[in-house]
Amino acid sequence: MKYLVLLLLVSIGLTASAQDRGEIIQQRIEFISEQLQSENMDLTNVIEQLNYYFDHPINLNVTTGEELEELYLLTGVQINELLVHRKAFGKFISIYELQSLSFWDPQTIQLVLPFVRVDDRLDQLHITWKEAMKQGKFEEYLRYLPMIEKKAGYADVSDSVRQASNKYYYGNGDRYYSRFRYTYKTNISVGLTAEKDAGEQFFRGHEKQGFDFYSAHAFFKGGKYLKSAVMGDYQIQVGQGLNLWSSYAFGKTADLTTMKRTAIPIRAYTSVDESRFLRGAAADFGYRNWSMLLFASNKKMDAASLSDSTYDDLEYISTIDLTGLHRTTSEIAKKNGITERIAGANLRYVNGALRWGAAYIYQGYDKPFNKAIQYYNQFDFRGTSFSSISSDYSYVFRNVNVFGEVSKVLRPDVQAQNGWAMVHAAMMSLDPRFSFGILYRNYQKDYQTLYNAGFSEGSNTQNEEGTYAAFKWKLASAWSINAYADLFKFPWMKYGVDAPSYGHEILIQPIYKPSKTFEIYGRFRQQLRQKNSRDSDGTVTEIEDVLQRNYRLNMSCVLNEFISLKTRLEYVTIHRASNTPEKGMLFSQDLIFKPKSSPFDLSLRFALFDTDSYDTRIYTFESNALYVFAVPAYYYQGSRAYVLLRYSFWHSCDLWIKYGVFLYENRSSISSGAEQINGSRKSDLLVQLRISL
Amino acid sequence: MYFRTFNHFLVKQILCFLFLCCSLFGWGQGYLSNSARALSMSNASVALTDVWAHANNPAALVGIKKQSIGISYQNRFSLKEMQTQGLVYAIPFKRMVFSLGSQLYGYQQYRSMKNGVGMSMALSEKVSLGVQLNHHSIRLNENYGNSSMLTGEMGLLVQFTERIRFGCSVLNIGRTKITSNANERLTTLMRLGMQYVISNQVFLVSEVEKNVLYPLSVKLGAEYKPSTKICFRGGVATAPISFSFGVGTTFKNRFQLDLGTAYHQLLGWSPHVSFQVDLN
Repeated sequence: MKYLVLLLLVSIGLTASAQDRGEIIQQRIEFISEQLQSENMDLTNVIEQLNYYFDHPINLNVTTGEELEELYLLTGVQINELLVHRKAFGKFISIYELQSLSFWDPQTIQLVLPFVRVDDRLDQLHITWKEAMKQGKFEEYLRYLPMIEKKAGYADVSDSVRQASNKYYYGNGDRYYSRFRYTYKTNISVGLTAEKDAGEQFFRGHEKQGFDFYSAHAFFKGGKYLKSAVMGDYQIQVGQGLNLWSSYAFGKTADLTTMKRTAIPIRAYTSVDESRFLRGAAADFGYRNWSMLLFASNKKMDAASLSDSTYDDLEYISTIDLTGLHRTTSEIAKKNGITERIAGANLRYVNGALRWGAAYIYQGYDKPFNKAIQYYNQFDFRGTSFSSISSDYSYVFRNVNVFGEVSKVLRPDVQAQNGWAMVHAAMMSLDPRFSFGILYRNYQKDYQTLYNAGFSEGSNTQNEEGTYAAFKWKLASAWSINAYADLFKFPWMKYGVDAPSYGHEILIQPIYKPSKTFEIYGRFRQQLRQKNSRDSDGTVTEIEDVLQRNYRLNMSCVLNEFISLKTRLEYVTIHRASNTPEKGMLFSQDLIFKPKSSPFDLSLRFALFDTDSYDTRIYTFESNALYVFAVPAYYYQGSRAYVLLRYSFWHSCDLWIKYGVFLYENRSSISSGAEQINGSRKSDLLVQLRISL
Repeated sequence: MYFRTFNHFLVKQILCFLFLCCSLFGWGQGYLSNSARALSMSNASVALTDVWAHANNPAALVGIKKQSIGISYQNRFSLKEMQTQGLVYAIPFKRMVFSLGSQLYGYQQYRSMKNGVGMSMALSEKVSLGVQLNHHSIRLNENYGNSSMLTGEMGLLVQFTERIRFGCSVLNIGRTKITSNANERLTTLMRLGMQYVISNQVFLVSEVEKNVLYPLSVKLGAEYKPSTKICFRGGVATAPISFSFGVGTTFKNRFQLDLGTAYHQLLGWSPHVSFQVDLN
């Protein structure tokens, strides 16, 4: 009888989490995307992590804590408490023992439950060829995104016109994508990804090799001394992201746990962002408490070059293009214009609650990089190569986790521009119901590395000083509040800001969740930034305060086993002295239909939006096929609707089809330049097939 | 009467100066932050019950059980011209608490002083009321003379539940004028706030404050007491946006030393120290 009850409890827990799977992942992506405010991004790695641990829950009796950090759902204090508890009281017998941990509130347990398990067995790693072939997983993704409304850049013009101008694309408007991957647990991964962007050629012209972008990797993890190693394309993460962090990282989110970066030394690269990754080889060695990461990368990138008029043979690079698009004559001319070289070492020490690391990174190009000097960018790197050093720490003492990183660039040629950057933070669980975090960062104007992702308001870890404080408070069983305030200063000019400036951001989000099936939250966010005034008389451009306020009401409800609903209302206002106040609003309704024993899932959205301008656009997450991310901006006046259908067949295949359409009011053309569409309709179609064996 | 004789330039300068004083924390002309404990929680202090309630909310004095005396010193934006010294004293009787307080602000060219006497009493188990009478004097450089006036202040404190307490206070309830021959009044403030006790170790305070002249300010603060000897505090306030934090230490169960500071984005740090003793 006892076992029956336990079984029942577990199964209830599991079904509940099955419903939340999409939801948890969706929320994380929303957090990231709101910060990045970019329409095209690729967060495959983050999602893969959560998806993987969903299928292969972390064994709490074995874990060293690192895996738990990768979930992004727990604080350092909570993880440490679990490890201390396990040491003191022995192995966990049941997952429900988590409730006895004082900093694990029911909400956290609920969030983590789908990704963890309690097991007595030890996961010994004996990889035999036979087993790896038998138990490994093969996956193939095929994706096709055709162009529906014809854009100006695809006009039928002669080759000579196309060659002379940058307004016409060489290829067709369709996007193709293919990804093959073999994985064995988290230990082995081999993959090949290929992509053709809209407008790029395919197996002809400038793209004889077929796809425009290929990425491949072979990855191993789990040896005794060789902890992980990779050949091909990979990501490196060091410390808190000041020195080197080649992938994306969470920014400011409504959840304070994301203020801490959890570095995973080596990761296989499977995305299609054509610049933010490393190409070469990396290995992470471990001995007792010490680890050493070594890596080297040699990657071609797009760049435009100029030759020096006095020395014919001296060529230098004026711009580096990170978009990875090769559609027009000038874009194609830039292809592989420069070779980027990065190599480095990262030494790490772990002893219980203490972690420490030090890193040295060399970064440079094969040709001198010399972008045009502007007042705002005069401290940026110019030349052939430079290096950077850093040291990071994290220590958990009782209920407080302190962490940080200090980094400095070394440019021997320009002694005056050896800036440093630092971040220091503390995250505290003052009570199971109340957590608090505070973070201070100071990045100098002449601090710059090629790939970083330190906690910041600006897009780079450069030219910023600020203090961020956040809390998470569980008021009552149904109520909780998340909030943060961030005060920042930019000691030097920025692009579009012709003076030192300052600003702040405040967010407060009350959440009411009376049951597992119903949740309502409100969110208020106020951002103050300073930008160039639009009333410039052409002599001195003054800066002015730009105050943006966002108000959101979001309601989600699981009606029954098949249907869930989500409603969102968002309103935004922008005030600035040189413009009349602007506003924008969005009203959207989602319907998700998931019949239990049917192979079909269906997601529908209808939304109306009305914004005064592009500035008052509203970003909102859209459901999509697995590993596809879209957070489009809704702006001007009109409607948006989409249908996403998933069909599973033959036990091993999944097919996604998404069709969405924007219909604009009072608009006879959409976008501009080569992307211009005549008419008031913009639609998109996506077809994705997954075969997994 | 000398106010009319200001030349335009000086008026402007002094107004700028007053504006600076007022707008920064919403306190002006004698209403200044008064204890390092309150300041380190961004002055979200209208529902706090300690001896400094004399200057925050006279009704909140009802919570004190012993005779208590406190002194404080603040240096706003680390400017020597913007110093505040404060002194408070409270003595509880059977049905009411009686308090005295004094506050000195400024420097040679501009000095303001506030002396007050207050009384608070419990109206019921949950509700208490406080009233206070203050004498203000403002002295400018010798050429411009001085002015003095009386203001009244009133507060309410409601112990809503064991965890939640609300406080409300109005400063300068009569909207007293600075001089009789110009429409210049001492500023009036209304504050409404609450304290929420999460556990023995942690509580939160929040408050909205409206100064008749300035935008509504919203404040939020927290105190964390990991042991009986030490506590940490932090807070954030809007209009103008500022951070604050501080530490406090209690020794021999009757002495308390608090250190705190607020940070303003353009003007910088405002350190504050206060000390209090419980007598008998």
